[in-house]
Amino acid sequence: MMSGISSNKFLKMEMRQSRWLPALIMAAGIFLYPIPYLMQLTQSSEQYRSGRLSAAAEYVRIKTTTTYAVLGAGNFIALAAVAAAAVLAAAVGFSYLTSRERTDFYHSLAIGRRRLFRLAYAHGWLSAVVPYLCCMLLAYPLIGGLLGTVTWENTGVVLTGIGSSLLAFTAVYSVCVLAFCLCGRILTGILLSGMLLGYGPICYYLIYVLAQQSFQTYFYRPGVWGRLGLYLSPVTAEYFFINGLRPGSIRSGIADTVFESPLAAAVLLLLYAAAAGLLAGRLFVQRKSETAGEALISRRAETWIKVLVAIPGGAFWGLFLGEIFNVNWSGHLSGKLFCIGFAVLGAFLVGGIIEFIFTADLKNIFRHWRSAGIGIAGAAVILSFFAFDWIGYDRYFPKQNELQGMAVAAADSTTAAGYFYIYDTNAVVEVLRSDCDENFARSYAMLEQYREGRTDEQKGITVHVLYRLRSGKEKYRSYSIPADAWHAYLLKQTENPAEREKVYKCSRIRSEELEEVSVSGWELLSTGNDTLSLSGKDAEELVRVLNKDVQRYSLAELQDMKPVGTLRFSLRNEEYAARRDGAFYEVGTIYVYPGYTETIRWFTGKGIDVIVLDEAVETLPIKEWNKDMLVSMGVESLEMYSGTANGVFSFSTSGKDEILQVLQNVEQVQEGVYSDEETYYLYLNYGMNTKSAMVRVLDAEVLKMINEKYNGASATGE
Amino acid sequence: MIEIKNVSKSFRDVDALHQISVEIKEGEIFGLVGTNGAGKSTLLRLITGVLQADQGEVLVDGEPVYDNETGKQKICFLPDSAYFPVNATAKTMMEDYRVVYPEFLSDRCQKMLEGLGLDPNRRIRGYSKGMKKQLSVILGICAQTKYLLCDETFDGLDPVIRQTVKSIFATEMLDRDFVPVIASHNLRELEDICDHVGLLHKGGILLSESLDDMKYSIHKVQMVLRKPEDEEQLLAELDTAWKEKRGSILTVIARGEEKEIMDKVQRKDPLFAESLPLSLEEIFVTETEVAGYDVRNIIE
Repeated sequence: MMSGISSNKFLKMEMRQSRWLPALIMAAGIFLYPIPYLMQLTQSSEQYRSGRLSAAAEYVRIKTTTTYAVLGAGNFIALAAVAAAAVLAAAVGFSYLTSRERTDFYHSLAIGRRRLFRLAYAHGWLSAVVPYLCCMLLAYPLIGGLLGTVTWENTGVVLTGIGSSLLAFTAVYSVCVLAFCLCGRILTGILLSGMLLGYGPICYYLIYVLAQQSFQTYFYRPGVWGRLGLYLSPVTAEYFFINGLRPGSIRSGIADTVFESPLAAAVLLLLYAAAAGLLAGRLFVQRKSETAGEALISRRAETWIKVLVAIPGGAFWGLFLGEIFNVNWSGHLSGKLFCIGFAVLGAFLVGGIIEFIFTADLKNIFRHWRSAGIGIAGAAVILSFFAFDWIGYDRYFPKQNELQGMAVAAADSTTAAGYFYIYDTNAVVEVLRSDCDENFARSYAMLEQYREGRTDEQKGITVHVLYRLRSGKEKYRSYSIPADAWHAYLLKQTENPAEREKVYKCSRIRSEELEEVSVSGWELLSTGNDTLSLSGKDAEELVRVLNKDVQRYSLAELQDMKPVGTLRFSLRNEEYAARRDGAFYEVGTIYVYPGYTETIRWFTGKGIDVIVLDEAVETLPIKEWNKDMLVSMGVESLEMYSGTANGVFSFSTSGKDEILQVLQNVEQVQEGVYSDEETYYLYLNYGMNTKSAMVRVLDAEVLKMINEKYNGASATGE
Repeated sequence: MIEIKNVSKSFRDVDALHQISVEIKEGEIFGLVGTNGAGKSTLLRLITGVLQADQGEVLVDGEPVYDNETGKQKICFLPDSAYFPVNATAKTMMEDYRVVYPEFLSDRCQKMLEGLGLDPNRRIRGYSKGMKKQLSVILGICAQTKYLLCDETFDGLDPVIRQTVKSIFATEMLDRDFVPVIASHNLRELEDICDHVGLLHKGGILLSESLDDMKYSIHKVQMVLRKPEDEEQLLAELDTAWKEKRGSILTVIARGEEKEIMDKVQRKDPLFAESLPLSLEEIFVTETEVAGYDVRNIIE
């Protein structure tokens, strides 16, 4: 009996024939890993030797950070390299399927199809992984050893990086192998790889854009829904996975390397690798040899691909051309029909391109009219589904008796109480209950009034609403509310002291999330520092006293008062910071008013004195101002923007003495009223930049002085 | 023995083979001849296990061959357009063949390459078509498989090399269990070397006989008959495959034993009658004309 073909020898033979791929990956890997590692470590070593690094501990920390950023999971450039290497490796391992001569050769050999698949898979995988590991060996034990970065801690970082890269690569590679097992040409294999890797997130994003543009009450929910798009491709899941492998804190020891592990993404990558690999193997075994040189292995596959690409392709073209031709498709019927027409045209063109790729014969789009028709119809259906709101998403408005509760919050949340930079849409809290909140009915009435879809007018503020139904379901919507109506609503909402807690955002600050608070608007005479780091008892106490003070006043009362300062909060919320998908790291600003006595007392206890403004100061003629008044008025800066006659000056100063000097020679004028005479106007910004006053320079000599002393920038003639 | 039983194979809308049954016995050289697009290459690929039959079965020594490692171990396939890796040399091909054909005889291959004047270190992409064919045949022979399937391998070889290869085949058959299967258009070459011929036409087997039997059972007779009615009677009596009349000379290709045919002719008391040698090409053309493949129509 003849002896069989040795798998090891066969694999070696294959790798010998494709030596260029490992060489290429090795060359690329050297520039991704050892060289940057060496350069960055050398740089920090020089900094340490020259004394620019303050302590040895910092040097050690930098070495670890560098190891993470270059060799560990922090090397994001490597993500792109992983995808490229996966496509190349799959192409090399399975390229014989695209050649009739090579297929004849390999399929005539005494190797079963399953074994042949495993060998081809291993061929591609090893061609990429072996050079990668060689680069890592060169970088870490060798270069790292020479530069003293080899520690248990860094070893943990490197091993984590290697593990994550291999997992990510295997998942992406398996999907690419699947693509090549479906194809009989290199070009279609590469294109299909791209399609399989990007199709899910692209379609998800397309639906998101369609929903956002079509549905005026569309509410984008971050969290699971936001991440769904990331899960639909191993490339994006890889990004999500590696992004999550960030050291929370790096201490000594492998076991102590703390990292946030998005387990779901890791499991998903494993599933991708397994599912794609198994499916590819099955297809490979069943694949007919005569498909070598064909675009895809079956007519049915060609039809499916055409339809699957033409539908979103057409929908995309509908949106894109609508944008190019400035067609407002979210409002008028004609706009909608135009975009649907563009989508039909786009689907036809995309179908034609695919037909050309498959058969190099455009006429086949008419011969294969069924698949072309399905693609065109699909694109039209998708766009009209959103354009005409088939499921009544935008038209949805619950009956009042269907609601158990409701939460209403604006994206722009500026009020007299304060504002937050970004609204945490994922933390909408139920603030209004239908059975016991008197504000509930008012909120419902306001929303009912403004529930219509978008018109051409800009209405103002985007308001997010959570409807909690008696059935237990929750629905989220967004509405565009005129700014005046929204602010009037807020004023009414805070009339009842019992309801104020639900309106004022500071009431939702959780003390355990507070990281630091900065104060501004008054001189810090004792500490010389305007930032306080808060933790534990201090944070808890501040939040308690602040909420107590804030909830003493309605918004209408606060509007009539003048703040004495601001508190800017930085919140420690790693989950939001890590996700970056719409649930944000909430940072806000609260105004402090004279009536916030407990808060002011608390700051005084911390050594921060608050000077309460005397309102009479504000009415003094400017020439009578002194330095103390500048301080108490919270004068931030003096700026000149333009002149009305020859020469354009501009300067800005925040020095108190200089401001006073200028103010001695100006008069206050009504803001916005410019004289026809040759006059120069200055803007005095005060009240923590919340207010400004316009002044007119009276004296040419003063103007000259300003020009000579302050105008360090251009003084250009017309 | 290779058995092909009721095998059909189609590619998308094209029926390449339809219900073909043929046996390739040991101890003989099998020639596969056919018109263009008859299905010769398809049949060879089915035997090799490259393609899978839509219907029927292909057995090699009693075992199915498709996706069967044991069955395929006995076969080496030399396609009409052989695969050589980029930058390959004859030496690297020997190394590769040692891997994929464990019984491969490197020394013998080296000797044969030297004998044919092929430089083992020269890149194959620099070879001529004929040289590539030579290399392909040498590698196939040295693979030491029982069955060697050659798809138009002899085309492109010069006459000297052809003779050499024929000698090698003959020697191999004497020395070991070796069954070459040769597909070709070159009927003269097949006539010289094959023992058994299979004639393929439009996906079907027209005939499969040993060469001797084929020549034994069909003959060409040239005659001059005295009376026209004798001619009609004679044609009716004979199993005529083909006839041609030029002037008074009637040439007939008829099936049957030579003696039987000549007896029938003699009974008509011809002025002149003789049996002429029939080449494989003439048999081929005759049979395919009968099957509807009229070369003259194509030319005209």
